[in-house]
Amino acid sequence: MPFNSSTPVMWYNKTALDAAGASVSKTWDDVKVTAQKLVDNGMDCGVSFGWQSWVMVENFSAWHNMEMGTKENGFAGFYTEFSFNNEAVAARLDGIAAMTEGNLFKYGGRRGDSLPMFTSGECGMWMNSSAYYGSIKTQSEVEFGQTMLPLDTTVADAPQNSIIGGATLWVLGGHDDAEYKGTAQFLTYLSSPEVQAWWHQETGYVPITTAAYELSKAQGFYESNPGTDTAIQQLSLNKPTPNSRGLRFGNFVQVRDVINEELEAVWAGDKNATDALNAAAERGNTLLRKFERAAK
Amino acid sequence: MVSFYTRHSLHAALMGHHMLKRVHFPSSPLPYMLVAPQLAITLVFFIWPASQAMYQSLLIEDAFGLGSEFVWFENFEVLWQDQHYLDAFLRTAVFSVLVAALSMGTALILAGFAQRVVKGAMFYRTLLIWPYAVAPVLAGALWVFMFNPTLGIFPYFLEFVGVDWNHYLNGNQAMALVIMAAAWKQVAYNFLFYLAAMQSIPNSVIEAAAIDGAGPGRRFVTIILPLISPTTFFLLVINMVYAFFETFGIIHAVTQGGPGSATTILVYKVFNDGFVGLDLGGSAAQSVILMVLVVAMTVVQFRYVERKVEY
Amino acid sequence: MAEIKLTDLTKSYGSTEVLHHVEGDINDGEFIVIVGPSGCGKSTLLRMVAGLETVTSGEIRIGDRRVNELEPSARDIAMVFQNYALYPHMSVRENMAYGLKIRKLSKAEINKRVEEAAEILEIGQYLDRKPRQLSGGQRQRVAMGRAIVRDPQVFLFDEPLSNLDAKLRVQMRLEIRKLQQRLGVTSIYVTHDQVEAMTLGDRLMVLNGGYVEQFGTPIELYDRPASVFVAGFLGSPAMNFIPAIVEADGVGFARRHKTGRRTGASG
Repeated sequence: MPFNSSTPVMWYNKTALDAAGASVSKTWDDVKVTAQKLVDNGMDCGVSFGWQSWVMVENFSAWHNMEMGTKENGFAGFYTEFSFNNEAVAARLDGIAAMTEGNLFKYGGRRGDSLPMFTSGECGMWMNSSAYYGSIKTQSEVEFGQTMLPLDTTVADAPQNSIIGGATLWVLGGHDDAEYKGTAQFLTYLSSPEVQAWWHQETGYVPITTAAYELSKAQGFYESNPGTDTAIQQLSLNKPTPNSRGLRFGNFVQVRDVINEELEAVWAGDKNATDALNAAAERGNTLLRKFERAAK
Repeated sequence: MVSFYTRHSLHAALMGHHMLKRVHFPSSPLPYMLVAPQLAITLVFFIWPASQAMYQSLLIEDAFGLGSEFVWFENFEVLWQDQHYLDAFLRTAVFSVLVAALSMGTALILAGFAQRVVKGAMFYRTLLIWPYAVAPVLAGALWVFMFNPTLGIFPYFLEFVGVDWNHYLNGNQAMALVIMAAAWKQVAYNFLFYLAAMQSIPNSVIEAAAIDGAGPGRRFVTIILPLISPTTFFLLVINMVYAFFETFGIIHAVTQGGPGSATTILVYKVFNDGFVGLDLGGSAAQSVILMVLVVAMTVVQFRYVERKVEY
Repeated sequence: MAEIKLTDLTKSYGSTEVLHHVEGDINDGEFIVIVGPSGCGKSTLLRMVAGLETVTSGEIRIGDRRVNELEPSARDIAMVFQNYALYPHMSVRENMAYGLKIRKLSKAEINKRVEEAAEILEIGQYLDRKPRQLSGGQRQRVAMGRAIVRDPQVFLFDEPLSNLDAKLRVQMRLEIRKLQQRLGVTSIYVTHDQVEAMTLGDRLMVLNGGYVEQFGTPIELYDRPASVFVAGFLGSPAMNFIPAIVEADGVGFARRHKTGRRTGASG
């Protein structure tokens, strides 16, 4: 059963944007302009993000309806090859790396390590999971909002849809019937509209049932907290294509580490994005081949 | 053979009175029972897992261990061809040497001062021993907070001296941070041994040196340091093994091996490939290589210790 | 060479006074033995002269210098410890040369002094051995050698013979005495062994409970002990004591036994 599912969104510091006379960015061009305005207005950095493989490679590809790997991102079977090492992704990453000049972009770690940069008012924009809502709500010293991921107008005219990340609850075989009855009751409880709506509203994870979404709407949650339905809208923006349905790759945890390593080399200025992506794809393909042998 | 036998019996005849004195224990199960718990612990917690690792290093397995293929030494061959793995060797050497040097050096200085303290000595010593009780991951978390580029207290101060601290991006800073965290945790242990070693030096030897005209610094270098050298060599082995084996928790909490692969040392790769990436065969092969390395290191060190550190 | 002057010397640990107003003048080249039962403060007194213990009040002078505040190294003294305190990681030669190297003597000068001392003490063939390869007696000689090469103004001995067997102790006692006479260096020697004290010292300082009971030549102390303690402490077999009460009877003193019987007057 899917449980804590989320998708990356763009968080922004309302106060800072207003003070700098900037509007909420819709495209990457806007992001750059806004970041410049924020820094000119005295902020330490314009934009940052976390979970970079997920946000900047996987979701960037889906959002612009590009393939991340062959065979429908792995859904069509084994023997896939990574194809995220394309010009569009490379150009975007190079663009971001160029923004490190003047602190328009500041890198702050692999997972959620850069969260304090946003909540303490150091960075005006932050791209990461919608599920940081709970943390931001309790920690933030600034007025914040969330909006959809920016569009790269050189790649697509309109966004496709973003993909989810998170975790799933599994029920393992080999136990007593009584235990399965209990498990079923627990899962029913977890997926009930009341519990799901509460979980969604407190954490920022997306509700896993339409009933929970409708309940949240009826409770007036989205009206009194504008932007909190951004994740849901992103996920359901269009009918998913093979490129935006999701990912299914073996050894993907290690592949993400490889992507992390290569991207960090780009941010540090040690490599250009094309070389880094090529290296990541090559190392990733080796891991895929290894997985196939093990799973045979 | 004959001559040996003859000489042996002659010897026995001459030394007869000695032979009689030799103590013979009646064979009984007691001695075996007494060593059994230790043997059992060694078997269960060392021999068995080690042999499992060796066996697994010859397999390619899926994440759940359901399917596996016996591949002989392929996992090892893959490692030798992997430049990233080979790079990790050098990085591990640098990391281990610096961790050992920093933590032993700090402990030595602290022990030197603690030994001179008369009032409240127990208080200071107790405080200095505390970090040893901290789990590696927690030690890492502590340093992550202190050095968080946004919230940490140290980057705040470093900014005043013109250092822009961001260990998420700067590989050298990240390495420095994990070395500090790893060394800090080991200082307490080293401190204890150094303090004990210093206290076992007869006071009169130090006094004799003082009368001979040696000041505190000179006494430390020419008398105390050589006399505690057996402890130093022992600690060197212990610290290298610590740095090789027990630091993955710290690295996982502080840098996850990054940025790039700046802090990916061998044991972190074992941990990350095995427990995070679930590549069991590759991870087992790496741990076998690590095991061989540490065994070799220990053997070399102890031979060296035996020959060199005697007075 | 120097005289030593102890003036109203007191030592306290916290509120506990362990040495009380010690006075004593030691002449140039004299061999003084401080003797007393264990815990009498004799080692403390020696260590104060050495500079290993601070002075609570009073004054110590070596030669014409007040040394109270001087570091041990600045007092121009050499000390032989009870456990010899050799540097275990250095050879015999290095042990003896250590202090000389610190004083930056030339290599040739150091070698000359070490070899002279080794010859005097008959340890020439052990110069390249480590202390643990030597017997107790040999270590003792090395400790002496380390003191001699420094050519100091004062030798201090802290029960140097107490770890040796009886026979060796007698032999070394003699050698120490001869050596001291030959070098003519002012020496203070601490022991709890009254035979050692009586045979070695030009003069003896008897300490008891932190007080100087008597300070004089062995014969003076033996013939005219200043206190019952001194009388009882020195001499073998021990002096006989008869409990008595002394009272004035107009003519002289009379002793009266506890029984009340009066004996003939004396004095």
